[in-house]
Amino acid sequence: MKPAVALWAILWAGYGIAAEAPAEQQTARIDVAHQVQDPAYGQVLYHYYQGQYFAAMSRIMVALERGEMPTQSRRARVLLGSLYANYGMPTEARALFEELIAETVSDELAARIWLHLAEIEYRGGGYADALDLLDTHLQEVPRQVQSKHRTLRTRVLMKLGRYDETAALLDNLADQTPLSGYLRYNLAVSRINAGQGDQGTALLWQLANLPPGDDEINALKDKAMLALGVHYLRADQAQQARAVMEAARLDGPYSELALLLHGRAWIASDQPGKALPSLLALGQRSLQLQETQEALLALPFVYDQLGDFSRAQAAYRDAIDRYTRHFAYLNELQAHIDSGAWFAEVAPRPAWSTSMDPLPPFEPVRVSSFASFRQLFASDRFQHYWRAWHEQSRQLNLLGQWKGKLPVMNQLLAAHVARYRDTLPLAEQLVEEVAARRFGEQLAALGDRYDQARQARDMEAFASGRELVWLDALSEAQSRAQRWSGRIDPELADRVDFYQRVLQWELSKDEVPRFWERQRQLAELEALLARHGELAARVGHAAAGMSEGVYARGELLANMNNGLYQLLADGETLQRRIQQEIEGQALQEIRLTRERLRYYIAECWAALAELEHRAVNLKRRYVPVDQSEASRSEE
Amino acid sequence: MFRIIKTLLLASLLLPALALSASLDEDMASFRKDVLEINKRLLLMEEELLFPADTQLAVFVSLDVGKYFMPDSIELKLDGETVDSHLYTEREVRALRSGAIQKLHTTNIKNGKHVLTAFVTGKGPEGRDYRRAVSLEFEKGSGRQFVHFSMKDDAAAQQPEFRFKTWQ
Repeated sequence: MKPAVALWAILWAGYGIAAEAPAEQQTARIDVAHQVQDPAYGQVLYHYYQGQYFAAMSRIMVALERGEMPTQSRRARVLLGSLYANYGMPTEARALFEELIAETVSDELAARIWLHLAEIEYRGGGYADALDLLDTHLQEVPRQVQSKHRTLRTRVLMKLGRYDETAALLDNLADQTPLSGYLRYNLAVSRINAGQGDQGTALLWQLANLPPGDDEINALKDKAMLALGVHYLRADQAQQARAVMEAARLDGPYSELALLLHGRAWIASDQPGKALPSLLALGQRSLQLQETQEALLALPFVYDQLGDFSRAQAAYRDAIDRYTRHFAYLNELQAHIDSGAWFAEVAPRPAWSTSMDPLPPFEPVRVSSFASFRQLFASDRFQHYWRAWHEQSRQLNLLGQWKGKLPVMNQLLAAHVARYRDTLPLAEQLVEEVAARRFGEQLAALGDRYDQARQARDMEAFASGRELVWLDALSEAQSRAQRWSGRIDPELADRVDFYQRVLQWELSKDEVPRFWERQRQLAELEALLARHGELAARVGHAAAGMSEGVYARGELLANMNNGLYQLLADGETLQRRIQQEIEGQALQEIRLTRERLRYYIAECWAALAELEHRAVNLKRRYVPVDQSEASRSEE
Repeated sequence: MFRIIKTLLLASLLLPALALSASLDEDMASFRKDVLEINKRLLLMEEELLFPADTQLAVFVSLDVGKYFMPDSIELKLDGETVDSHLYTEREVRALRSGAIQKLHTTNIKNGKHVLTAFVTGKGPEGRDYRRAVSLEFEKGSGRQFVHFSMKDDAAAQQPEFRFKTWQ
């Protein structure tokens, strides 16, 4: 995948988010700042915005399991689906999207989901099904997804060979974007390969005439020019090919191909002398490059065309010599691949700081065999498995980290068990002690007493501690006064009676606040009792479910332990398979190079023989006059 | 010879890509699914074991708009002791400005009263260095305790505004 296309594929994932409420529809795209309501969803975005897609997926899965996203779970699920799709898990993505589409969702969300489903079909090669999904379910496309819809439909139509419709859609796409440029380039190449040269070249000219832009746009312009050159040479339109190649950049990322095509255009125009500079320049470059290999074959041909037979002969011999020596290099390279050292250069083990790091960037230039595998490194297939190997590496690293943590988790679980075992009997004992005190019954009796006292306006029941002392003292004085009624001063008895009435009056004066105070105290006691009830229930629940819970957790941990070891073993096998796949691609490249070089060598020998044959014939034709006379006299 | 050269050199630009290995891709997808599943289960179990629901305190950080403040670092003190600090990268600040929320710290605390203090440094209005401390006194009850530290723009005062919010 080209860098630009890869970038767009990642951004594409961001378009999976749609609103559930009308207010959210204005900011439904995840790549645009929007209102976050659930903190768990905010955490997902924290990973997602930093490109930590694996971490984002894990966080969504945990949050969904725990029900931590009461308002934004649907958004999160759409994001999870799009991440699945981009993570090479189309089956899971499809299942999730189908589940979402079966729920009641807004039109815009539905449109996004159908787009995702069509994208999955497209990536799986089901182009007709993808188009069917788009045309059946997206007849009216919401404004927010129109651009994405057009892009996907363009790609699908191109794959189906419906080039006129593709071209019409491309005309509606915003120009100057790398994606639209790549789409145009692909359409042009598809049309040329389908025999529609005029339409294809028209598109290529559009790209070649784009105003200069960033590196990506400039590289695309170069590529369009080269494709035009190739097409014109193929179609025996030498003049056009020469015109194109004279205007093409001979430096930049495609300089070797540009030089070769430049030389070829002049050869095709029967002006081989003008082909020499570019072919000679190319011949100086590394023989690892396919273009240099081809230039070495073209050079003697040019000398031959120019009538310089001795140089042609020398160049053929030089080419044979260099090709032969290159076989030795290819053998070394093959041994390098077989030993695994080449792969270690191409995919060095990254130093992960955490298990959630993004993948490292691909840095092919540091590989000594870069020139030999330049086209391989740029291919979709190589990039796909290179990323897959690193992804596998990250996952093995993650599993390894969990493996390291498992003993600690087992210890933690044991500590929890021990803590429960120590604490639970104490808690049970405390609950039993509290239950034995029958606080509930006591509180009920207090409640009854309060009701009766209030009804009977028995203010003694509402007296404070000090007032109770006074009441007791007065009551005592009164009983003594009655007992000694004949002996005490009547004035004293009246005074006791007076004080008692004063106290009664004091008590009755603020009876309402006194009732409220008692009522408040009763309510507090009731709340305390309720809390005690909750605690007792929790202790009871823990006592009943503890052993079951602990065993379940222990069993789960043991299962995960086994699963982890199995996954690690499977993962390592899988990673070796990915490595073999990549090494197989490199070996295939070497095999093709060897075949090509054998073919070139054979051609060189044949051309050399032909050249020498011609030289002999010429010698025979131009025999010196003296020799012919001498032979005649001998006769 | 001319024909041979021509045929060879024209091949490079217009070749179709080779097909991917379907079986290997399927195995990779299946493995990724298993890894994601076990990773989820282990994450859940780890959190349950490390931070049981009854004692858990989680602190989240968010940045709303970020026109008047760009955080450089944050330090968190719980009951007078530094429990966490973080230096922000550009990517993290960008993520926060886009609405993401950072889970800064998770710990275990006892029920009862606690004081949480956040010290933030960064660039304030007009790019000036900015340092602020904000405290929160809260009572931890039963169940998980969540604290959200939000850094918001106060458009009227043209200053950043820092606030704590708690919920369970």
